[in-house]
Amino acid sequence: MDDRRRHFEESFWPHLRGAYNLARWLVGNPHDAEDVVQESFTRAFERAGGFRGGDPRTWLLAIVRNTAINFLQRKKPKAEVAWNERMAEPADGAPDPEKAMLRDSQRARVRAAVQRLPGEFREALVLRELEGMAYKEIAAVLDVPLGTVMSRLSRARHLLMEELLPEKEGGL
Amino acid sequence: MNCERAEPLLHAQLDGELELTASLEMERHLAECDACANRYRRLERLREELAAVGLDWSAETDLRPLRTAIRRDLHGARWPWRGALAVAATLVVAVFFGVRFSRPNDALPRQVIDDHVRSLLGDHLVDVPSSDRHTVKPWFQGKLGFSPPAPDLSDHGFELAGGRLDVIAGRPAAAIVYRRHNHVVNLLVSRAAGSGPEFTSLDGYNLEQWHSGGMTYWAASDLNAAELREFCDLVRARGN
Repeated sequence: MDDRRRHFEESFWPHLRGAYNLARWLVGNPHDAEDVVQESFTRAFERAGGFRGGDPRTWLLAIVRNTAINFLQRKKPKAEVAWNERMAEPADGAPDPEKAMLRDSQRARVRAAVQRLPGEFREALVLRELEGMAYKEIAAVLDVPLGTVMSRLSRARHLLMEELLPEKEGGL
Repeated sequence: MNCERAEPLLHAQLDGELELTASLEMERHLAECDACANRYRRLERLREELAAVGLDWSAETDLRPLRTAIRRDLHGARWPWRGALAVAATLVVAVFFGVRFSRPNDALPRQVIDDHVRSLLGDHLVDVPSSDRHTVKPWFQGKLGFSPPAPDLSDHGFELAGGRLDVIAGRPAAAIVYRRHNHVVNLLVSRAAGSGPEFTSLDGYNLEQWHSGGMTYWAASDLNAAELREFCDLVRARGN
């Protein structure tokens, strides 16, 4: 049992950050992301017998992704809609100085744009731009064909460019 | 290379996914074509923007409490006792909240998948361990009011591992267990009326359900959907 655990930890600890990032981008807040990652590691440990060689990161992130989607669907039965459709602009509520400051910053602007991407595009983008995964690895995590990865990435980028890099701004 | 061919490949070029010759062709095209070169520069700018801003939440999050919590989970794992308890707790919670959380058709797939997960815990995967269908099939005689199929699928890499008695939706069920590599497939057969979709994916497990000859069949596994479909097609084709 101890050997098994040590082996598990050696394989999967290095990917805790990646797991957290993916969960955070999928569920949208730190608290739920931690729950999802914790549950994913437990599940990965339980199923580690089914992991044979292969790439531990791809294997773990696939579990994180499934756990996150299950979580979203459990949380709101309508999550399928939120998952597949582009999220609405966040409503501008009562003035909140802290939020206003965040909104002003470029970082918040870009991150909000990423967060508003439909889930399918967002996960592909995060795995590519943040995890630096190859198309083949992304396809394995998402369990979709390579062509689907390519089209989702391209859709994600076009939506982001529309929002973040308007053509009139210098024409680049 | 012309623009029509180049455009969909701009992303692949950016991501370093083009093979060498295609990539060189692309470079030549970008040197000649302003429109594509502009598109490519926009893609590069987006990448720079994302990199500058940073999508990395973990860099600004203290992950130590999470690490501690996970480690506690793993160290607390008294396998399989703890897992069984967790499944039991899940079932209790599901009984209390199931109606509210799930669409009506979710209950049965959930139950079958929980059953599959439970069978993987501890040593109760099979009551009759055997790779011989002539041992497994007769074993069910007299224990169930029907004779479940236990086809030999070893030519497709699904090795018969044995059989087990089970209960689905309050009705006795036969569980025929197959293995492919380290994946376990539980083929459950019961007279219980099946409800729910033909295909369900829950908690990383896939479940396919079908009806035949007054029986309901479920195949549950962590195999991917395509492999599970292959398994189900074989069972449907070979029956007994």
